[in-house]
Amino acid sequence: MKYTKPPIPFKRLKVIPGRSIVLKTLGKFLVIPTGDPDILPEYNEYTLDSNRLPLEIGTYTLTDELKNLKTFWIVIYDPTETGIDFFLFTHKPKKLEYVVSNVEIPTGQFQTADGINFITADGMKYYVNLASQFQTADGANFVTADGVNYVIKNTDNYITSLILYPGNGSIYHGQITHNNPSLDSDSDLVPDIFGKAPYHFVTQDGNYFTTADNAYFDVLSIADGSITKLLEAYGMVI
Amino acid sequence: MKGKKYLCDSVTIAASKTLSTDPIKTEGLTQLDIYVWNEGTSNACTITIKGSSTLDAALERTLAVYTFGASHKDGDSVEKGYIPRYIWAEIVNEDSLNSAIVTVQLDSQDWN
Repeated sequence: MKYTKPPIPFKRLKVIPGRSIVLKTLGKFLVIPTGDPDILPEYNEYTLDSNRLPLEIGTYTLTDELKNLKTFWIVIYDPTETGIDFFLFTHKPKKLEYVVSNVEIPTGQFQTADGINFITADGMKYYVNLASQFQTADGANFVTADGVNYVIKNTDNYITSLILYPGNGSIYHGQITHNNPSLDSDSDLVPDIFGKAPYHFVTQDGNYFTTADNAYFDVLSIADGSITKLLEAYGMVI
Repeated sequence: MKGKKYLCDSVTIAASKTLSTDPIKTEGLTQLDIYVWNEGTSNACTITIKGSSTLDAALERTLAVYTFGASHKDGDSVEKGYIPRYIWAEIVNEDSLNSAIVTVQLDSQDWN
């Protein structure tokens, strides 16, 4: 998120009712809480697998899709960062836009052609120093025939803008800190930060305890659910 | 000049253990900052900052949630209007192997 970190628990954004507000962001995932990961998969909901939904450059507008919102919050985050931004709407948003752009990122890692990070024998990663130019073996900058330097650029697609529509209500912006936002302990494609997973009772030998009809005995427990823990205090949990 | 108080000061929370601190009265403060850090080796320590209008915490609300790895720290200001009468921290060390060493510091210009 490019905005300064808001105070806790959240800060009211200055919006004019009926007008939109444009927020500069740097996010990889936009989460929209329909409560059903199959309803809006194409809109990045609860999606961590980049093969399932790579961000494509463009401007996207959601309207009909928002009719499925059960509670009125959205989350945007970059799984490589520790800050997770959320926005609370006092009124059900009827429209949401986001822009995906190609952004230059400061470091990159050498990879082999199959996409595997290239590491040394002692497990160290090779990094690209983007401040440097290509040089020839004698230390001279490698230039094109017309004298232009070669430079290394590392880019990736990010959600660079959110355009929010408060309707006649207000929007609040907050942020939580999590050291591993991409962690998905139960591999259900819902990251733990949104988690609310049932735990099964196990017997002393470690096997699941089931009823005569093979149903589990469950304890409904929040596996981690940092976002969930905060939002449920404000009646925002799906 | 800001004064400071601690909800906990370098308190060790063993692996898979929890801690709930005693509440501190914050009623009437006009400004409040919170600094939280884990100096331990726990890779999954969640610190939830909570507030209540009563000492017995009959009604509580969550102000912030921090999930830290080893040697991780953060800090926030509390939005005006959201400073509770009492504040405390609930700490869960979800790491089953490593201890957390947690400090939760409150700073306010009203504490001199």
